[in-house]
Amino acid sequence: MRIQNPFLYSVIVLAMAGATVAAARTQAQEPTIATHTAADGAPAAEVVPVTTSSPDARHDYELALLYHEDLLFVDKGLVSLRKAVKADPRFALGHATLAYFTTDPLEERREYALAQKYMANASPDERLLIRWMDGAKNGGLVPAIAALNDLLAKYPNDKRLANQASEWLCANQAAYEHGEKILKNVLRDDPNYFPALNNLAYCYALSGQPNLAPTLMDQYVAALPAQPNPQDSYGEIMRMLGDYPAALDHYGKALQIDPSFNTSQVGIASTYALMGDQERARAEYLKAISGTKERATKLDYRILWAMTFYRENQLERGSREFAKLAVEAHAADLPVYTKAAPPPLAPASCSSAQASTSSSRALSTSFFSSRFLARSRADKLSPVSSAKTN
Amino acid sequence: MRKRLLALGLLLVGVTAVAFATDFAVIVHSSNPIRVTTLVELGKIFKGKTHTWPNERNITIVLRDPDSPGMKFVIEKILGGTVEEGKATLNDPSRKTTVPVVFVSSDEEVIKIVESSPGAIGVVDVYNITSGVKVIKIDDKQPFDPGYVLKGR
Repeated sequence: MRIQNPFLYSVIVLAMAGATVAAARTQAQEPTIATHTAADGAPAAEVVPVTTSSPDARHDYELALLYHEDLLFVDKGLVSLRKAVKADPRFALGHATLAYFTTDPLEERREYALAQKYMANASPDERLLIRWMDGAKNGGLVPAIAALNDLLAKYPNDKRLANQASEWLCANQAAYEHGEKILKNVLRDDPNYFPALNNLAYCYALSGQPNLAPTLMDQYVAALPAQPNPQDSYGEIMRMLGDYPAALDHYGKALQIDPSFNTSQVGIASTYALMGDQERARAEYLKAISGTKERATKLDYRILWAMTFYRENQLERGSREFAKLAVEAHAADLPVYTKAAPPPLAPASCSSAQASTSSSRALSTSFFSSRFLARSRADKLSPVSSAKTN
Repeated sequence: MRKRLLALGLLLVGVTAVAFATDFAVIVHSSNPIRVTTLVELGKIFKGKTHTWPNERNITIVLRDPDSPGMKFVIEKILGGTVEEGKATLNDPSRKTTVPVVFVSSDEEVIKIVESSPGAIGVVDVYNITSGVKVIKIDDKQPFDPGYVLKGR
């Protein structure tokens, strides 16, 4: 679970800092390289091992974690993971991680099957990690938690593992105290571990303490001034606090840093939607839709786009768009909220609903896990993907 | 952004109360053959009326301090009545010869004792379990199942 080659890690981080020399220079000053190793002086054995026979697969796997888990370039992370399992088709942990990260139910089912098929290639601790990821996403929570706690006890210095675990605990399980405890321990040992700064801020926000989040966001932005995600997260936190102008400002800064950081484009669109400007929201969503190649993500954004019609009380148009999406999604075996499509709202209800989504609590619902939702939606639609029982 | 974020939820889902509920897991030693029990039977164990497991091992109960967060709920649920009545039952000196109760200060200690004591039974926050102990079902349900009886708040 770490970048094995420090030089490689440096190259990756620098490359992602941006195309310009100035950006690279800024990034070089950031503490990113040290953050993915174990605690100072800790041997490699203090992080969960990765077993693959292919150096290319290892490289792509590590790159994927850097993108997906640390810097939040989610789509790039998925692309790298696909390359990793292509380089080593028997890479059990690679398949399991791809299944865990993807929001595409077809890919998820296929990759979990492959992870199971090649499980014998994985080390005992990798198997624990796979058991956690599988159970966390597919409903086998009791063995998943046991496996996770075994790993956390065995690898107390694996910061990425701790970060992944706490994110799951806070965002998926509402187990805020547990998540906060892990993150605070990580930050006690390494106050500049930026993924933990980000996740602790969200953990606070989700647990109804959004006022504690901006300070952490300031630290996060300071730690990674040339990366878009800190600004994106800051935008989202400000939106949770109901400060929409500040949210738009931070999302805009994220896009200035990296115009391809599509989640900030969605953030802008959703902020306009919450502000009541549905026409602007739709225009912004269309940019986001064209900005992703992930079919499940594209569908999510299209649903958000269609939702704007309901929000301005164009009920027939909204229903028509959702019906079209449902047909397309079923044809492509993609999940969609057929049962979650909103019922027609009276104008007063629309206003009420819009007002309610301005509250931090309502906004906290935006942090539902895409994994969780993808699974939930798939469960409703496809008997093949029914959740496992323990 | 968080990578697991789905902005969809923001606009499709209405106001959802922030949930702080946790499930409590009943744990036994991994060698204990028991896999499922009932709330009624659990109550008998906690009241000291059932002394041994099916494998004849003597039962020992391991719990966090009854005044610690969550344990009030657990005691009331398993023993019925008020927490004070439950505490009196658990602290009854006469039960030391039947089903002794060991109070400790953390879930980690509960797990540590249960995983090393073949006759022990404990109750912990499910997010603290490890593979060193066995989680048993209560009334055919385990933590996170709909209708699980030890779902605390």
